Amino acid sequence: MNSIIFRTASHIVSGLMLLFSVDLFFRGHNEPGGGFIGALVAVIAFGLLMLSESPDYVRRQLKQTPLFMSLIGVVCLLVAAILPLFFGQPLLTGLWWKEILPLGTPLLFDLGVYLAVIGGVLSILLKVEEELS
Amino acid sequence: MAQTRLNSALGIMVLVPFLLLIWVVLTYQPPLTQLSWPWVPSLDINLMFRLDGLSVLFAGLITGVGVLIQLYSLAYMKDKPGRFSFHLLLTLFMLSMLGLVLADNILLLFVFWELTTLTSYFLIGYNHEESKSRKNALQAMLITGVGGLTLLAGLLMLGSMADSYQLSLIIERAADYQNNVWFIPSLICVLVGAFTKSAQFPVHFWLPGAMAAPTPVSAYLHSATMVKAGVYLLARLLPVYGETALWGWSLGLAGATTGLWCGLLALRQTDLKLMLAYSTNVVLGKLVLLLGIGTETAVSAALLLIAAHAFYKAGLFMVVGIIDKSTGTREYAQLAALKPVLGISFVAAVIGAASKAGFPPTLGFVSKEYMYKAGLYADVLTTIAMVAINVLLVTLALVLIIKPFLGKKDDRSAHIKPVEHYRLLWMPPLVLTFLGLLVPILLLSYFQVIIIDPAMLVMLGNGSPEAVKLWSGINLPLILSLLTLISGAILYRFYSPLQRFLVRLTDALPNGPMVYSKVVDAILSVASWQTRTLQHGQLTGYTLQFFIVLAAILVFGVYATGALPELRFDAAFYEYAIGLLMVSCAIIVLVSPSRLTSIATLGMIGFLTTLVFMIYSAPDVSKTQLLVETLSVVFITIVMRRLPLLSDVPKPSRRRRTLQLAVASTIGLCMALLMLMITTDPLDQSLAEYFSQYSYPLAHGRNVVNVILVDFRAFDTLGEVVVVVVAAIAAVSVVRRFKKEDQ
Repeated sequence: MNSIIFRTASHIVSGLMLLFSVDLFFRGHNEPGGGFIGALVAVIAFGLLMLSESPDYVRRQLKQTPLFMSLIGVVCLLVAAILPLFFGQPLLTGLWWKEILPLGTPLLFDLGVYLAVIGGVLSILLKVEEELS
Repeated sequence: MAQTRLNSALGIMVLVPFLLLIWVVLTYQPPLTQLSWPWVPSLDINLMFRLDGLSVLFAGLITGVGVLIQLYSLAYMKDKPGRFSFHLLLTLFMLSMLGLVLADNILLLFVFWELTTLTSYFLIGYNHEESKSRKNALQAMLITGVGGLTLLAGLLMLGSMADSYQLSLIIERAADYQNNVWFIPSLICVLVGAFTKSAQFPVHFWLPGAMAAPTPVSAYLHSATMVKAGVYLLARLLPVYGETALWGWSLGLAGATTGLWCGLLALRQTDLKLMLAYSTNVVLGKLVLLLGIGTETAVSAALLLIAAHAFYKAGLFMVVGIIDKSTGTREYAQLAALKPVLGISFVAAVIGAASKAGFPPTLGFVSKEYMYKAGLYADVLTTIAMVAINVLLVTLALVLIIKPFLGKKDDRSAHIKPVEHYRLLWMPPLVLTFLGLLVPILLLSYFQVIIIDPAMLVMLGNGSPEAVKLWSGINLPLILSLLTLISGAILYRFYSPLQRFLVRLTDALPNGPMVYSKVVDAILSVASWQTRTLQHGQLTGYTLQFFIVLAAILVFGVYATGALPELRFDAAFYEYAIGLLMVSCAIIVLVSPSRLTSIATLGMIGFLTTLVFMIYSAPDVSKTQLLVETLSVVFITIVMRRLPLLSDVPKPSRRRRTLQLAVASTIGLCMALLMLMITTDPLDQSLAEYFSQYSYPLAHGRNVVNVILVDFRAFDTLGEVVVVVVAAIAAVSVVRRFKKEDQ
């Protein structure tokens, strides 16, 4: 697309959207949001960049292939799932360290969802755009 | 270097059956040894094995003949490609067969049963460049496969009647379920399984068809092992079904028909290997006939015959393999005067043929004596059938010896190449046929103690049958034997006209392979018709099919739920407004001439739905809906750029559009009705209450939806995310493939 306004604005807007996506992800446990919604916002942000620049531009900015990202996500999910087994708990039990920061395996699990969904949906989006245009 | 490595690998595979044979001999303590390892304990499936007279007889034959076959194959397959995989498949087949006869759990038995079908498919189709070999392998697998599935049904019925899948318990409790309604159906299913595996009439033809295999395979699978699996199963289940009338006459009928008809078919063959194949059918018929009688004498005769047949038939097959190697043909018309060149093979062939004809003092003779004895106890008709079958076998044995080895040479005779300097070629058949001579003369009492007595104990519950003897004086069976030998010799005098007559007769009758190929063709044409109808490659058609099925399910759902809900109109004004907007958007989607307008309006319907979620205070759901809607508009827009303009596409026919309208309205109407029905029912709140109550105390989160996703029901999420990733990988590769096809 040739509109200079769109091209300039898309960088600002997608940057803001990515920030918002991270915010959605982190606050998800207590407020509306979460890994899946955050991931969709991120994908739309990248989609915007893809339309204003090119799929290749998005790939370069990402450094990793989207499928690799989703693979990392699945690894996070599996680690979060299996970790409790080492503490004598059933699979997928939430483990928490509340002393310093409210961290726990559910956060890792949600991170897995976040990365896997971004990677999965984005890879389809980029591929379709590349092959069809 | 590679050659040495190959040789040592082959050597190991020869050792496998040898070690197993030693293991069986050392482990077995008559009358019964049981072994068990847990496998799927929750389903009552354990790796349970039993070694008793019956299974040890089979296990001994499988491993013992297995060693000799492996040795023979070393020489026979010397210059053939794929030797390693050949020996490997042979070993795998042997292991499955061994598992089959040792299994003490019927489900385990079934698994091994199917494994023998599978491995034998590969072995029969070993010469896979030839289409005939592939076709016959498939034929064998389809027929025994259908039988196998029927057998599974029968075994499941049997297992649920006996309330156990353990073979010994099923046999122990046999008296308790004789009057169960499922008893006869299970018997029929088991019979179908056993008859197909053991190539009984009318599916006898797969066995001669399987002769497309290399000769070692025929010698192993189609003499000592696989085809005997059906006989083994019948023998095993004799204590369960033996008392039934159906058992007696169906086995008798199948066995006698197979024996007589295949005997005649064997006489018409000119290929020595096919002749042996049909005579294997004959022996299988004899065994089934004996098990149908099911008395003590009949069972002893069957056990003796199993051993005798394994010895002589495997040996004879190997001799035919040697003839093939030496002359390049198996047609007896082209063979003559082989005796001077293939002297050792001649000795093996003579001993084997003597056992086949039941000439004293071979094991074949002993088994035939007991067979006649059992027949005389049963009835006259059975005895006559037995004598007739054995007469045919005597004639066949004579043809096998006289035609190729002793006949006079003429100008049609093939050139004979000496091959007996390969020791591994002639040693195995000689050892095997000699065993058929050695056992009755020296080892008969030993055979009785370790095989016959324990087998009687499990099959008939009888520990001390009469002793088996080589010579039991001059009696009626002996006179019948003499009569058989004489008639066989007389029949041989008229062999040539008889053979010509049989060729004309059998060509006139419809035969098994013809019926089989008709059935297979019919199935294939149904399949291709179905594929043409359903898989037409038109996306709109696929969508229509999908929605027709959905409509049918929904109509059924509404119909099954029954009572129509009462309608209520007490919504707020803005809810009416949203509803109205959605309806008008839907109409625009339908009538708009531009794709872009349609997609944008479709997106609007999605956003309005988001609004509905907001009103009913479900922020997470509405956010997700909003984002998914946005993404799908993006996706469709990208794809749409490649599609032709709506105005350039021809409109579907009137009939098609009416159908689409009908399907769409049905789905819409049914969904509306179902929604109304669901909302009139009071919602079960217990789960929602549980989640909102424990979300913070247990999972430290106040957003219940997220807590459900990542904690309470994390396992579902795990699965869903994996699906997303897998779908992405699939989509990426599919899109890539389209690109390639375009170029």
